[in-house]
Amino acid sequence: MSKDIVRKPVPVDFLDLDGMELWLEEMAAKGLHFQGSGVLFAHFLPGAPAQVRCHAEPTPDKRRDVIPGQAVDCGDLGWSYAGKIGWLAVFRTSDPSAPDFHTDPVAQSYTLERMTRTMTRSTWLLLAVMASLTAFLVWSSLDSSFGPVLRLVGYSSPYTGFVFLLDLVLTLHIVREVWGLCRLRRRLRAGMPISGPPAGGIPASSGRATPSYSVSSPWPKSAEPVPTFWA
Amino acid sequence: MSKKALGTLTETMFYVLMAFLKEERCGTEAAEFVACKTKGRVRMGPGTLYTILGKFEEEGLLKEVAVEGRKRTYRLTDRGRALYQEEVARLRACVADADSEEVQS
Repeated sequence: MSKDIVRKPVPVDFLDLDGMELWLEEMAAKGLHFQGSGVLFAHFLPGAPAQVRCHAEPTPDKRRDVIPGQAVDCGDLGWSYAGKIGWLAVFRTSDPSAPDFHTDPVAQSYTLERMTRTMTRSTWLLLAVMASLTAFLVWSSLDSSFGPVLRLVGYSSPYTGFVFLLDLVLTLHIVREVWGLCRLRRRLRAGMPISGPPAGGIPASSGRATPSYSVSSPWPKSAEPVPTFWA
Repeated sequence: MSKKALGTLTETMFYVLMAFLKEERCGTEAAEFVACKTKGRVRMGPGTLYTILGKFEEEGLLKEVAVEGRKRTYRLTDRGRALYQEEVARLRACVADADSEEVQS
């Protein structure tokens, strides 16, 4: 059984929920059905090409053997749990009449709360480390009493510079991602749904059927406010 | 989930509270109630349903009263009932405003 599994690197950022869903739907349309993930790769079971809708739901527990609470009952509403990929639990349905996994953007925003809180804390920590490192490097280059440290930094200056630059790029990337996630949560809370196919099917001409996911952007591609009296 | 309290209820949240007004129910029964009550106008996906149940329980609007296998049954708390009634009063006031505007025009 396991030798039938096809392993693929994930080309989508783990915080790009919509992009992740689009990629998994595209793989299913090619006959590769998501089964779970390992450390580096997503696992797919080959089968008949199928039009499915996928939903990536942030979960508080990254462990692959911990099944999220919704998995138990989602079958009653036409969805099934497929597996985890990072912090995301993947659900899917091939039933065109099944409702969308989330039908209330405000409720959906609650699922992002824990994730955004954790990511924001980590980002502040990362920024603090980055600022300390920058301050230390500047100070050591300005203050001659830093002799031994300066020699150490000077000795490996090309490497130090490269590592510092790499760290800076990674930090900026993470800050951008987390900012996008927070923005997405704010939009959901304001009643704007993540764009996706309408419940009832995936028209071949819809944007959803086209592999238009971005590799780095966690922001929704378009969002119209929910025309509701309530939200 | 967040420590921030719920703001205005969405339509789906309002109907979920309504589902527990008269009897204890599990999630699936609540979804069936909402679909039946609204004649299919308000549809709830599983993610929305279980997120709302979790949030309501966390906010003290619902209380879990029984767990039988995978079935979890909830009951509306006094706080949940008060919030529901508050929302009904708000909606009645809105409808009254709309009615009075129609009469004038």
